[in-house]
Amino acid sequence: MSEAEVKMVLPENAFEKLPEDEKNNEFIAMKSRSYFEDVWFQYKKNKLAMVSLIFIIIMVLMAIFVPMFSRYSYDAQDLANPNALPSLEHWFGTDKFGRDIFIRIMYGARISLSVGFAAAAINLVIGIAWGGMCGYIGGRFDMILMRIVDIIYSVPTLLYVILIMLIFGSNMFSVLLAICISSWVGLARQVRAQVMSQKEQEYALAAKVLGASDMRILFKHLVKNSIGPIIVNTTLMVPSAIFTEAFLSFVGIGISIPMASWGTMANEAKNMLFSAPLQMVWPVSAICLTMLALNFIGDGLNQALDPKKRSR
Amino acid sequence: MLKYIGKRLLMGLATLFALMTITFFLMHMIPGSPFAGETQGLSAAAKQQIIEAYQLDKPIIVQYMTYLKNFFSGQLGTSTARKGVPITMIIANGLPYTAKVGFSAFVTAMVLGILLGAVSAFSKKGWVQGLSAFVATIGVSVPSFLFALFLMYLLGVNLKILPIMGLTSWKHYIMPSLALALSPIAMISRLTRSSLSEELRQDYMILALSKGTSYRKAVYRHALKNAIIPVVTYAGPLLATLLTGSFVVESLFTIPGIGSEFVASVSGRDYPLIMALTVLYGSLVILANILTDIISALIDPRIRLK
Amino acid sequence: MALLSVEQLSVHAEKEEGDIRLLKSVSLELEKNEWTALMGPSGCGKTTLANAVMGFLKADTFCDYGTVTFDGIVNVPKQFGLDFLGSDPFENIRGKRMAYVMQNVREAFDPTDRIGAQIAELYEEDGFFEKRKKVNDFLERAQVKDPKKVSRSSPLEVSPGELQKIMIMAALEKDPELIILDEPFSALDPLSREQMTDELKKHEGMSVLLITHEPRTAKRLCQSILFMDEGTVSEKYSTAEVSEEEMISRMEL
Repeated sequence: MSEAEVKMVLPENAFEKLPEDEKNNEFIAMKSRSYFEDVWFQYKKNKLAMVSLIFIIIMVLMAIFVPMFSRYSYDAQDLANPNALPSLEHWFGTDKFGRDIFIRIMYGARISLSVGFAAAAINLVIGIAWGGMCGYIGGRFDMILMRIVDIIYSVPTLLYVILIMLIFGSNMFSVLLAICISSWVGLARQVRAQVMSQKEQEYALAAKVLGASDMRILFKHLVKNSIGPIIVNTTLMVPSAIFTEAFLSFVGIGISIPMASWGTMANEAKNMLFSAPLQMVWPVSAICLTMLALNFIGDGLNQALDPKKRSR
Repeated sequence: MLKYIGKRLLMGLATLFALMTITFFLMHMIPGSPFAGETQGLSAAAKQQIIEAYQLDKPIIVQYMTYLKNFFSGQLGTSTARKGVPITMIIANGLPYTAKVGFSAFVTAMVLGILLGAVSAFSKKGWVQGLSAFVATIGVSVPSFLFALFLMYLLGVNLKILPIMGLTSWKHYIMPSLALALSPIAMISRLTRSSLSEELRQDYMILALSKGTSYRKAVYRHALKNAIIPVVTYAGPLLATLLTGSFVVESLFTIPGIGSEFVASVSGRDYPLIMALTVLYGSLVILANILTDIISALIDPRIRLK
Repeated sequence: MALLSVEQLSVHAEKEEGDIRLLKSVSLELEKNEWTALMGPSGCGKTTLANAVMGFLKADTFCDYGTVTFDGIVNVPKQFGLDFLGSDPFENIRGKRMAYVMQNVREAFDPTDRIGAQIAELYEEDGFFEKRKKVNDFLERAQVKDPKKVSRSSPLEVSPGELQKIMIMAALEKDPELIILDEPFSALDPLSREQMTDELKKHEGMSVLLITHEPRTAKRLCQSILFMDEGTVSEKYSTAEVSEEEMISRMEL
């Protein structure tokens, strides 16, 4: 048979041109999203977490800007006008020295939030470095460092926090130091476990075979893959640092007196509990609402980052 | 098992040692403390006594050895704020109060927490779920010292149904125990609930039913026991935290326990007392952790066999 | 009337990726004294079917339609969990008239309970000493190595083979009329297999549904065979008319 005979001739009208609007009909894939876009998409579904996030953002903005533009300051006394009830002049009223409570709450937010976020950031760095090294290097190095972690973990923190406050005095630095002395331990353990399990996975081996340098493997592949639990842990560290600061200030060894921290305000209001209970309400609600919001954000992130926990 | 216990005890001893060492050096760093060589505000006699008791005129290594020797032979020295009162006596007076409050808070937390968790795992009623979610939310966001103030204001000052000071009748225990138990209740109920709902659907429950056991019996015999294990692991450190973490609640409710003593010793800069109480608290926590580990290894072979 | 009949049983699971139909209108009948093999590729729904016959569905799994009838008692399988506190038609039959040997040996025993105590659940009515004696007898009959030690051990300290023997013996203990065996010999050595087969054969008049991957076992023990594929069950064949090669090919679908 010759080639010409096999060749089939198609009639001109066998195919029809697809109209423009049907061209993409077969294309059903979803718009592809990056990891963080996906997390954000999941997070947005959780209303409580969204409200909390907005609350914290407003709180941060107010803590930054309100003291800049307010005509009151945290320590300006107005002895002619003590224990005033809320009014247009003083939104939250005044305390026993006639200081404006609203502005003091805002200064307190500065302290609490910066302590919270700074502590979380420091813990993040120490925790990842310590846990990452332990998990990556392994062997005796890991054993010794983890024993240290075990010991720090089982020593009751609050006692050391108090001793440190006695040594370095009542200021922001020692509050931060005291909070950070032991709270990175949990994160370090978590990172170590993650790194240990990821190290065995194929892609880490593949990267090593391809000649990526040790540090690049550690940070690019290993930590990137365990980012979910790390973010959640760090988020939850913020409220616990805020709690510790409030506690220390409440006991009277945290931020020292003329400064306005929510803890010191609660402590001062404690003595006025019977005569002016409202003065107690402000710092207490500030602490509780902030802790609540941060915990909800943590829960929301936890859900958004963990595919297993995503609601259908 | 014996090997495990031995290992655990050794670890505990190492931790105690680390704790004592850290305390010793921290005490020497506190500005104004006699241990740091400064003794303003102390009478000549008191100064002399401290220097002798802790051998502060000797090199630091001798001081350290003396400190360890004194501690293990039970000589904790005398308080400087309350002249001449031996610290052992302060502890002996205060510890029973602290232990009673801490223990009743512990029992409250365990009973209410497990109950709430179990009920919410078994119930499909909306209000039960709502209540447990509410308690969990309050538990994570309200610090115990603020909750204590709230209780004092509501039940003690406004309604006047509970006494707010001292520790003389059973009524006095209610508020401090509740204040201390709040966040543990939230934690325990969450733990119980999640582990119980997990255990209820395990294969061993299916097999138990297939063997002819009723569901109710299988729940009591297998699921509840397995679900309690994580709660036990949490309970040991909790007991220690309740005993040690009670200082604010103690001083708020004016309970003469060692928590109040600790707060007083810190603000009064009573260094020998601070040192003794720090080590005492630490040892309690370490002991509680060891006991928990041993108990959970006894009831859970998964830990023992690891 | 057949001892066991499954009628148009349809079950689906809700998964993250969407719903999966595990059983698609499955119907089958099992006569008295009939040994039937159930074969099919992994993941085709054999264990789901075995669970459903006993009345159980795993988490996030739902029954859409159909019934399981045992000797005139009608049941609709339901999700395993709290619903079992309510009415359960099979409650008084399970363990007495119908027994189950589960596939996953390791997870079928309570890890924190001693083996002896879990066997003792078979003898609820007996007193303490009576129970202990019966547990010892039981372990002797199961021919486990060192019965005293096994009785005191946690399931985690005992080999899967021993556990499988214990599970089979426990299922046979009350002389059931129907037994569901889900891969019952997977962890057994040839000798123990023989021994367990003998134990099963001792029970005359018992009906068996045997899930297995081994054509030889199916041919040797069962008169009839059902094939399963992606949630559907075939009609019943006689094992004599199906060759081992065909069985293998039906499992590789």
